[in-house]
Amino acid sequence: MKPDLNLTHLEKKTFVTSHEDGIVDIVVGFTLILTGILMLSDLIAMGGMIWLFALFIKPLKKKITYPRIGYVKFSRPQVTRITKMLSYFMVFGTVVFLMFTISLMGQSMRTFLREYMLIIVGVSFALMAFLGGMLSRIKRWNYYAILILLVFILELKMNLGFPYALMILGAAMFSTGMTLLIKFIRKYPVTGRDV
Amino acid sequence: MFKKKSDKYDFKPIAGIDKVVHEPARMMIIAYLYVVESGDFVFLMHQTGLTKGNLSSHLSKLEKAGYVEIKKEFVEKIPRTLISLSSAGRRAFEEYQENMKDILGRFE
Repeated sequence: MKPDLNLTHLEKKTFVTSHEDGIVDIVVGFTLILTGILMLSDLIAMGGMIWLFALFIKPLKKKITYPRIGYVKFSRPQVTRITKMLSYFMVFGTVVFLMFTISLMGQSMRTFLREYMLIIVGVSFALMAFLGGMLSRIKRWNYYAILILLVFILELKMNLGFPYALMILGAAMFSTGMTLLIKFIRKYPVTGRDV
Repeated sequence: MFKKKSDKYDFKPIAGIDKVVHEPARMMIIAYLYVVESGDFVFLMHQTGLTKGNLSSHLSKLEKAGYVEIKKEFVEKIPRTLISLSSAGRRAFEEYQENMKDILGRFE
């Protein structure tokens, strides 16, 4: 019989510790800054390739995280949670993409979407970050969700320009990630290789 | 392992507690392995706060009891020891928790 003793806290602690390194934040932040720069320099065609930076996460973890706190493979419920998170990301991505496509169709729809597109994109990004925070149980993604909403509202009010909004968000994420990484490296020195 | 709650004031079941799991350091190791699929030696050392020698000796005892599975591999020429809880270990930990709850219930 499965015991009702609560081990969830221990599981959460283990999971959160393995993401204390801020590597994901650094990579996502850097990608957003670069996307903004490419948009400003009319090189957005290269934008699709930018997301290849996500491939750097695993090697960085191997180099920085695992020698410090060790390698851990999470059990099925955690993996399912991550899969769910990715599925939500994909659904939202598709919705945003569809809206862009629809905006190219009817005149009235085009006007409506053009007017509210930034709000739609901002809310979609914020929802993605919020879902990410909720499913991964990493609180700072909930703060990112609030920040995304604030930046997009600011963008709408002050007309900053979409690339600048992305760059502000990217800078916030990148600097948070760097702070976390420095703290992580100080907190967990390399204790030596495996035995 | 032992009969459950046949007599509230019968404390003989205490003698039947699984001593392999009952030892604090080993219980810590098992608890961490229970919530993950597998982890390496550094992960366990970091989480439990045990020294290399201490952890190694407890892992040997757990492996001997059939509660953990230890795999040694090389990742980019760096050795890695992957440890996971076996199904017997998982069952032993669950039984241990049930039994401890039962025993502690007798002291109320």
